[in-house]
Amino acid sequence: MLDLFIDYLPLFIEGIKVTLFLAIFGTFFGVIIGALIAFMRIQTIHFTDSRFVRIMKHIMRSVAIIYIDIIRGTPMIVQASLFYYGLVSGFMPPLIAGLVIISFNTAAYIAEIIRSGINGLDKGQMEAAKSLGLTEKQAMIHVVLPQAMKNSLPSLLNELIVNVKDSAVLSVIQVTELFYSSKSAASSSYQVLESYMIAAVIYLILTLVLSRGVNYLVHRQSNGGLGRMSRKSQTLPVSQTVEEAGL
Amino acid sequence: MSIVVEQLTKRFGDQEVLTGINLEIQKGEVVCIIGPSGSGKSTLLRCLNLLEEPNGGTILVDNENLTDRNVSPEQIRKHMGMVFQHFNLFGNLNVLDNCTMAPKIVNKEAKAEVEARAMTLLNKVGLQAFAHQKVDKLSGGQKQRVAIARALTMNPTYMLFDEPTSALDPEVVGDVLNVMRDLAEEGLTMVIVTHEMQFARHVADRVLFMDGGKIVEQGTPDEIFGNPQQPRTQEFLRRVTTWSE
Ligand SMILES: Nc1ncnc2c1ncn2[C@@H]1O[C@H](COP(=O)(O)OP(=O)(O)OP(=O)(O)O)[C@@H](O)[C@H]1O
Ligand SMILES: [Mg+2]
Repeated sequence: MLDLFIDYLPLFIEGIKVTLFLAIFGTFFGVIIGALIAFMRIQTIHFTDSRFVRIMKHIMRSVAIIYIDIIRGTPMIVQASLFYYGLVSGFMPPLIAGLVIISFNTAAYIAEIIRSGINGLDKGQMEAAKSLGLTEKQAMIHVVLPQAMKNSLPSLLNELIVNVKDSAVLSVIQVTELFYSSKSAASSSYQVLESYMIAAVIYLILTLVLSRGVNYLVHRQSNGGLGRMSRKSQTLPVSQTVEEAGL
Repeated sequence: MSIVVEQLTKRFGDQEVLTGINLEIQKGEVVCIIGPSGSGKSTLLRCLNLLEEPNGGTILVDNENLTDRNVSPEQIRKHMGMVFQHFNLFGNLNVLDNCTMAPKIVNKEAKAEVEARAMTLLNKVGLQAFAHQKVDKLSGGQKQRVAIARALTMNPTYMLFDEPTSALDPEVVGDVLNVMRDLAEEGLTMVIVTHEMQFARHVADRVLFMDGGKIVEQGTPDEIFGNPQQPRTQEFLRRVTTWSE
């Protein structure tokens, strides 16, 4: 197996690079698109809204819901084939098409992560921002979203790990990611079992390293929180701790 | 400059929480609202800055009718600060930025100008030294004083306080009430929902007693605390004072 790995080293290295590229940039763009979709998704009609605003909010919310349903309700392999072979194969390189697909796919999942982050935030944050004269959109951008994103960080990083694995389906549109590399190695070396074993081991190493990294980050974050809390509860009134727990 | 409320009603589902409130607040006046839990005090306050939707009646703020759909709530709110029971400081911003964000965004004021004003106000509430601290490091009393400074940085005409000391430990309640008393003495128009009867007695120009979604009785602090006319007011005051004695 090691011989095979060494013989096909450039191929596997290329595969790792493309897989990481897709996972990292796909998740990055997914966060941007997902935040936008989440924002559209959570639009609620408020009594002070004009007729026009009500209609706009309704449309935004409907579009977001339909988008999330379609993306999450169909396999990425189908989305990729449809998009690439059906629409852009003549003029868009597979790598770029793959990046587009993974970004828009993960965005639907990320939108739901961010939405629950927003819903989980104390309503008082939005009310306080409004009470100072901010519009709902301004309050969202300057107060709610930054905190919701921070609270969603563990889930967002988890999405990155998912994308390391799920990018494998993009081999169907000839993206030269890691699974594609191992398929090439398998077919030219006839060492099928070994080739796919190598892919499995590399995926495992990548996801383990990333998830341990995420755990470390999350642990450090919550540890910091706990540390603060326990220090606080020694010096501060109970009402304080209760208030924090409520947040 | 005044707030004029006429026949204000508010329902949550089938429950009528405010049943025809009439109220006038003049500029410079300090009005304290007292009354039992669930009587509609918070709801009344939250209708004044449109955090709740009134179902009927009118609210005029400086002759602008809030119940008129053409008046944007932001326009009203930037002149009407609110202080909440649970502070609601922005967790993503430090103390100074909590104060300066709204003037910068809503009024497009220059950073230097707003920061100077915010520092003056933080100094006034005794927290200048904490300007660059994260808000979650502050104690409850400090948080509430920051919340007051934050609202004041917008230079509001009116200030609404919804039980600003109810979530605080007894020993820091005084710090917050002192700040509020100073504001009252400077002539700020304030509407304060409170359970601090001594404070209401000394600082208010007028005290309203609410029960069951109505203003049951109103008058000067001496009238309300010294010689309440309505049985429900007498009963409420008897109950709250027996506790403290
Ligand atoms: N968002 C809401 N939805 C449904 N009912 C509500 C809502 N807000 C308040 N109520 C109800 O309206 C009534 C008045 O509530 P409000 O908060 O105004 O009372 P309050 O006088 O401020 O009481 P407290 O002293 O406990 O703060 C209560 O019965 C409460 O349960
Ligand atoms: Mg209340």
